Amino acid sequence: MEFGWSESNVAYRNELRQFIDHEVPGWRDEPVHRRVITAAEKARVVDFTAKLAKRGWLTPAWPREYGGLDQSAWEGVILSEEMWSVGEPRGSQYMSVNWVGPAIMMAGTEEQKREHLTRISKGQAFWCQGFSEPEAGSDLASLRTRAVREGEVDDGEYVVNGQKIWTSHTPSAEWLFLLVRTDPTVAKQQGISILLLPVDTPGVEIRTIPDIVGEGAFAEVFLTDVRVPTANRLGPENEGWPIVRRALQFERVGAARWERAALVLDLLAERAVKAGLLEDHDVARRFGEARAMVEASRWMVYRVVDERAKDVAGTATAYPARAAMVRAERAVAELALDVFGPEALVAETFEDSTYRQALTAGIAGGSYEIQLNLIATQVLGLPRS
Amino acid sequence: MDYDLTPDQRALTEAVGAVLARHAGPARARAVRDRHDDELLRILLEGGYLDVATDPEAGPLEAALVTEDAARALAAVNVGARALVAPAVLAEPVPARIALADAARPGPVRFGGDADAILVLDGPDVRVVDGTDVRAEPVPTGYVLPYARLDLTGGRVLPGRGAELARWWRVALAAELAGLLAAGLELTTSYLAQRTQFGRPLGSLQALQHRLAEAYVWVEGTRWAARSAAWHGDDDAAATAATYATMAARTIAVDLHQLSGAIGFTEEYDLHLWTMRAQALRTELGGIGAHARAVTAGRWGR
Repeated sequence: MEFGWSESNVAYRNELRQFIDHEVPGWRDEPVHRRVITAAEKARVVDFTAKLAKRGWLTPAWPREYGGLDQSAWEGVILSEEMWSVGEPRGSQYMSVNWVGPAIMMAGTEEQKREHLTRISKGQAFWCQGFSEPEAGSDLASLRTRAVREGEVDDGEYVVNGQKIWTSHTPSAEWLFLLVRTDPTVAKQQGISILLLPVDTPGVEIRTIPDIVGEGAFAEVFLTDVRVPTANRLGPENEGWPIVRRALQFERVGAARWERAALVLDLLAERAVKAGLLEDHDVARRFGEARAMVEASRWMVYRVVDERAKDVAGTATAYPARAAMVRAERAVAELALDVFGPEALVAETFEDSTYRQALTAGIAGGSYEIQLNLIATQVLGLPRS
Repeated sequence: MDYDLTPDQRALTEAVGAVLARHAGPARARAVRDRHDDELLRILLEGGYLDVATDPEAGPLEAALVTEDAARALAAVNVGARALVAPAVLAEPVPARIALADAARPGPVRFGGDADAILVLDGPDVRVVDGTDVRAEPVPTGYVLPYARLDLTGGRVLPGRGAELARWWRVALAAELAGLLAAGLELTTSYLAQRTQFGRPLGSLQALQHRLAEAYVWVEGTRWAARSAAWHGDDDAAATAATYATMAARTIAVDLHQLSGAIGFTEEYDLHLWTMRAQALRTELGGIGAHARAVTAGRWGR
């Protein structure tokens, strides 16, 4: 047991930082993390990720044959930390790297791997996630979007009808990672398939949902008689659920929200120092407590990364790490309102964005309560309720 | 970065675990009650377990692992002070029984009555007070640890060693709390898994499951923050670990009792042996507020 970074880890992080300072100048002056990007911003993202990809830095932990560098999960997490702390200049491509790619690596056909993994590792893949439905939120496996096959299982077409909701990153998205029900007659987890679908397929309609987070973060996706070749199915028919579960296992800690929280806290502290607010004992204490929560969540996340680096599968360490991260993010965000007063309410200020973005912390990527359920049953061994 | 024990670390924790299984634990804690366990101290010293911090093959992380295990086993020996703090502060051979005191915050001192040496945090300096020179007045508490009021004047001054003392004291507190809170949570989890009310185990009720799950998050955070602080040995890591650990103690010691119902208040039931000790540790070095302000001072210079 030891808690230090290897020399090559440190070197990689330093190189990344130099690269970022060069490619994303002024990131610290405008540290707001935006999930919705305009066409101009998307062009900037593509330009940035192409440069990352050229160095193999977009997917360092991937095998070389898929455009990676065969490095460990630690390089992957360093990348994620450095990207999140500068406002995620990869746009939605962090998802492609974190879980879309790994899912395709796990279950894809040679053709799918060649097509998608290459595009992801080159930094040209904008995905969105077609998971939640109006009637399938935390209980995701009860999803109803229906795909009816016409023709043979490997040489036919699905006709898809249904609705997805709470989909992030749709404005920039080109592909939809879509969960559908292909067999409604079996247990809910056993009739789910995955379809990889271009969002410009006829019958796909996307509508933004106005929200209080201030980003236009969510959309609804309506699917009406959408025809999808069976060749776009990821994995065997009706066997999508285990693939999704495994791919998402790491996603609980894939986005380096702890690093982002650490940076936001530093920036809030800088502002508090300037305003003379950190002289107050109570304020100083609150900042210290928030930092303790961020750092504790970091050490819990690194435990998950360590398991991933060692290919240890099927453990439950990601659930408490995720829960700790949510609490840390909230503790940081609360400071924005408690310390800075009404100025923090002014739209689009750093304090405002900090507070409102953290509203989603316990929901996005699986709710806080679901993590607690999983800790109770899978870690503590308590009987199911 | 490696979260698994090395073979040497595993051998160490297994060996110290075997000693603690035989010579510590709830029954022993009850028998010793408010005294110092001289017998256990002798065995731990003979085995070299309290000197791993200065062992060239080991270090402070190993000492923190021993501290965590000793706290979990309710050792009535000031293991953290002896194994983690004293070796970092004292250059010379370390006396057997160490107590830690803070001149800025006078009050009863844990293990103060039986100490060979008391390390007194005195602003930027440390004073080493010889225990045989000190007038000690035992203080009764309900926290299952020996406390005494000490007259801590004089002593040998170690100039500029105060930061070192505060840093390792904080690491020791976090490591001890990691052991205490983990054991308290384990007991409460198994109790709720088997305690039946309304025809079902209480542990199957989601309201209670979530309380235990949140306690688990606190315990895990405390454990890894403490261990990494011991490994890093810097002020920021030490202060963040102590802050998190004391926040954890404040939150979950109360919850564990709440979840255990009236049985939790009895002497007969073991829970208080861990929870009351954990609460006692919250009072040291100024507690949560002072630890948290130390984080802020170190990180943002205020």
